[in-house]
Amino acid sequence: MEKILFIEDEAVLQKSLGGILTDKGYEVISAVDGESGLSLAKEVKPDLIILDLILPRIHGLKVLENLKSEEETKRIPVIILTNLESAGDVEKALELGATTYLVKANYDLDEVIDKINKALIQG
Amino acid sequence: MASCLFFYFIGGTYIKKPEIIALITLGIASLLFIIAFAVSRSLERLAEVNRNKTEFIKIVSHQLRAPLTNIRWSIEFLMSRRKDKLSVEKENEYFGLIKENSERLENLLSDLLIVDRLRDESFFRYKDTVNFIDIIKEVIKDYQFLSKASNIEIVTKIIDQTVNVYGNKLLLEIALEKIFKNAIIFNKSGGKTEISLTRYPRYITVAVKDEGPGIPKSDRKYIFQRFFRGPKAFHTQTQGTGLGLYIARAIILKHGGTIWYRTKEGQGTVFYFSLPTIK
Repeated sequence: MEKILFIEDEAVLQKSLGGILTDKGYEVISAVDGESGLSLAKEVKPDLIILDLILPRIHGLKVLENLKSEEETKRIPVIILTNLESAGDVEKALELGATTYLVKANYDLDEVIDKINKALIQG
Repeated sequence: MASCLFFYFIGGTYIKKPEIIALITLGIASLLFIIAFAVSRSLERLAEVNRNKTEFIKIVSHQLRAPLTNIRWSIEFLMSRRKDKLSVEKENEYFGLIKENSERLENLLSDLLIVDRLRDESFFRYKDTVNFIDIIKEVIKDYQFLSKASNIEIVTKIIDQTVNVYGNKLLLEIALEKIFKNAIIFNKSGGKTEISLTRYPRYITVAVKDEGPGIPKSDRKYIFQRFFRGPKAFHTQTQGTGLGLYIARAIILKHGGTIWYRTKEGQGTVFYFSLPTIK
């Protein structure tokens, strides 16, 4: 069973997206802030990380930077799922090594799940 | 200066009083310097306004979008599970989340409306004698739930039963609410939020103290600015609008009061405000 670490402080999104992914057969591990997200990434070594940017404690971009600088986590694909869509954020996230950058408001739940499946297939 | 000397020597060659030419040149140079300084300050101010506007659009779009996405995805989730028949508890949980996010949108919109109305003098016209102790009691009552949920103890240090000020009760309540709420959400877990009132012959001072991380030096001069959210606040409290302290300050000032704070990094912050009393 593939493991997905979902770092997101919005309980609703944890439940809706997390619930559907669980139904689809993925093991979903949840983190509600950047700090716990980072330590869980090192601990469980997931197959994919879904990362919000506006997070309590450590900002998502800092989490991404940390993930990509550590040997044990740098190869894990990271999907940024956020409502920030400034060119600077997108550029910075992709530059740091994010697999893709999704603006929540522009996608339906099904479309997000398609992107997640695609990222898992591509590794 | 170089141009003055240049014109002094040129003037010395052709006219009898070169110092007059040098003085005129000095005058013109000073004037040009003042104009250049004023233009550069105006450009800096414009750049600042532009930065605030960009920040405003960024914050408002995020704050509006987050609950909207939550609502939309919750509805999509409920719709996708129609065939599977979710349990009543599960359904209620999602309806609750939709309700909570709708309320969040309402709060943001009402903050934006208050900010807009603060510019309108007539908004402050409806004033009356108000017992400020009642306002404190009401605000504490309204935030009991949040303080319990955040594991914060509320401590009150108030001796008087009646302290009358002349003002708009609703607005004063909003001002205190904004300060009090910050002292809960920016407090350390298990910390105390203390509210005290000191009476002086002509005014009162209200102090709201927290045991949170304090305000970083780099943020201090901006905290009463509209839409300012320090990087620390942005990362620890993702739901804020950056309007609370701006609103509180504007209301206090419109009531003839003043607002200030003392903070120490790692130890907490005390917000004070004073209001004139009536006998």
